[in-house]
Amino acid sequence: MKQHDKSSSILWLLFGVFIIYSAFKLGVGSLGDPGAGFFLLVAGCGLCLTSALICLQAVLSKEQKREAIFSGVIWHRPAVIIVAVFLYILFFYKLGFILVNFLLLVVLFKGIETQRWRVAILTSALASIAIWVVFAYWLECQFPAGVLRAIGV
Amino acid sequence: MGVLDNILLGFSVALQPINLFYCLIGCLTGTLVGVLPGIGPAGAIALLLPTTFHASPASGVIMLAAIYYGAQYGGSTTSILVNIPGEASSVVTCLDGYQMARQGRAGPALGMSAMGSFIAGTFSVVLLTFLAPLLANVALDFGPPEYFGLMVLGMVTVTFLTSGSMLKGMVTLFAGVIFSCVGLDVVSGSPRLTFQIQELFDGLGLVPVVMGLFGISEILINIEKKIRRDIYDQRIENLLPTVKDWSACKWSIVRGSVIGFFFGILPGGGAVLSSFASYAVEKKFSSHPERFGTGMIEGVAGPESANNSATGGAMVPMLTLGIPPNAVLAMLLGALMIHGTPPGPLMMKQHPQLFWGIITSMYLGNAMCLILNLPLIGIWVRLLKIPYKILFPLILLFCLIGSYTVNNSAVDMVTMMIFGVLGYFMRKYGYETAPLALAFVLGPLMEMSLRQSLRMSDGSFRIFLKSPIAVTCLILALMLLLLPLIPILRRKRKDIIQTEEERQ
Repeated sequence: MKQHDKSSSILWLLFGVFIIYSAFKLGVGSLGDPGAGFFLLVAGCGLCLTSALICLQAVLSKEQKREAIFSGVIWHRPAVIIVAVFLYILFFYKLGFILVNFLLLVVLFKGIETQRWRVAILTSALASIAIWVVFAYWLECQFPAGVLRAIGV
Repeated sequence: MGVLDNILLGFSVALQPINLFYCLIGCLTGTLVGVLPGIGPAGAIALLLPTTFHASPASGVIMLAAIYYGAQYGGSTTSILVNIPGEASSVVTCLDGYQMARQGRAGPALGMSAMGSFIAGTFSVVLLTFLAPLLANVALDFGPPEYFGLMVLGMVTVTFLTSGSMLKGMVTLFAGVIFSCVGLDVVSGSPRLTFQIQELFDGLGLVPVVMGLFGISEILINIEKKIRRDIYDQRIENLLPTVKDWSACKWSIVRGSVIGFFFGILPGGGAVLSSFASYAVEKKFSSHPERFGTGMIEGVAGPESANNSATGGAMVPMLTLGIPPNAVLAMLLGALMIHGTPPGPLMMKQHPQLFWGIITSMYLGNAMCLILNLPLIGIWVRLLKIPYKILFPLILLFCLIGSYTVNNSAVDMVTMMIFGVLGYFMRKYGYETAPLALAFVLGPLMEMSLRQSLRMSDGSFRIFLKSPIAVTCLILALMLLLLPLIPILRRKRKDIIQTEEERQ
């Protein structure tokens, strides 16, 4: 067992405790008539038990060396992706499908491994239009038009 | 109706031009997502699911099934040429496949992989053709205790066969069960863990959860560091295996086909585990086990045969019991439900054309995949040369579109990202995502069968002991849980995990 298992198992344990609490709030019922919280209680107890065992193993483990699982991670890369996607979802209806796709692609092309502006904008524009043609026009999926509604997209 | 009549009925459906077209599109898409690391067959099925709404159930499901087995063909190309598995089931192909490519033998590796896949894929469809009706008849007698026993066995199997710590596998399993409870309780109608978000009343969507856990987390893992990809840049020749290659691989293909099929049937087994099992068996049977990992063609033929054979095996519980053994087939099950043809023991009787149409289309689809993967290999190689920095934004966008189009809901996109981040941290901390996905798929069925069983028996657990199938499954599950406590088995399991960690 590695030392970082302690922190992860404590998080799972807390989650399990919350699930047990929620299960009791929902009503566990009886064995002959299980309630809405019955199965959650079973799963929550299982989660607490297994995560507690992992924690215990990590505490008793002789291997005290901390393994650097995040060494060499360039944090801004996943962060850019996560923030960009949440902004994409936030503005999805307001700006519309084509525009948010274009903006997301520009951010990803520029933000992760910097491309030239011309390449980023051109690739993003072409990809956004192609994706719209395939999904909205050809496959008839429904997407919000957003600000481009005025021009009938 | 005899088997021959059923096969003829199936071919009369599968050979219709429109169904052939859909099958080809499925094989093409499957190979494409297999080659590209990130999207995966579950994501591709989610993306193309809306297109099947306008088609007949047979055409739609034939295409979605083709994506599933097509992805197994495509996955090996990336493993052999780039040393990055296009699919999780092709992880083990990297070991010897990439070494063969480095020695200038990429052609035979790709050729043998495609040939082995074709033979094993066809073998599994033949077994499926004969086994499915038998199991469907047996399944008619299945009640809630039998279903519960089967699902417990499936879940325990996936934690036992998980590559890391078994305890960690169980943690993710319980987490998956908990996530599957989100939504309205089917018996009482009370909202569970919905936090008053109306979109969660129907539960968490399978598509966003699976795409997040596998697709998004894969992108985050790939992008967190600067990765230089060594793509095999020489002309690929000698795709057709030589007599010497065939004689080295013939038994590997046979063993891989058998292992794959039976691992595929197990809930939680599937393509990934069967490929690892096949590799271990090949090493055991080889007179030069020490040479594995240095470019042995048997190390490519066995696992690639196994992961393709597993796709046919996985169809058995899905079509006959209505139990999806993995997340991809859960999506396929969803597609069948949307078309009003729920799979299960009665499907063969109520919708014989669809049932046999799907099965026979797999014979044709395997032949299509062989053609797509051998003469057209150049196209896939060119695709691999597109830098990841160009590819990943597009893959991410496809994942977002796929999760949105199922319910036209932005909440699904948020769910996908949350599970993507969760999957990323789980992988960093050594928790596998596969048990979570399987538990999420089987959770609702398991809960229903447990609650029904307990109601039937007025709260007595003896109901599980009265059913021979349920009790056998539960004993097997208990044995699997206790096996790692036996020192020799614990050591063996540790050895396998170490080999895998070394590769990573």
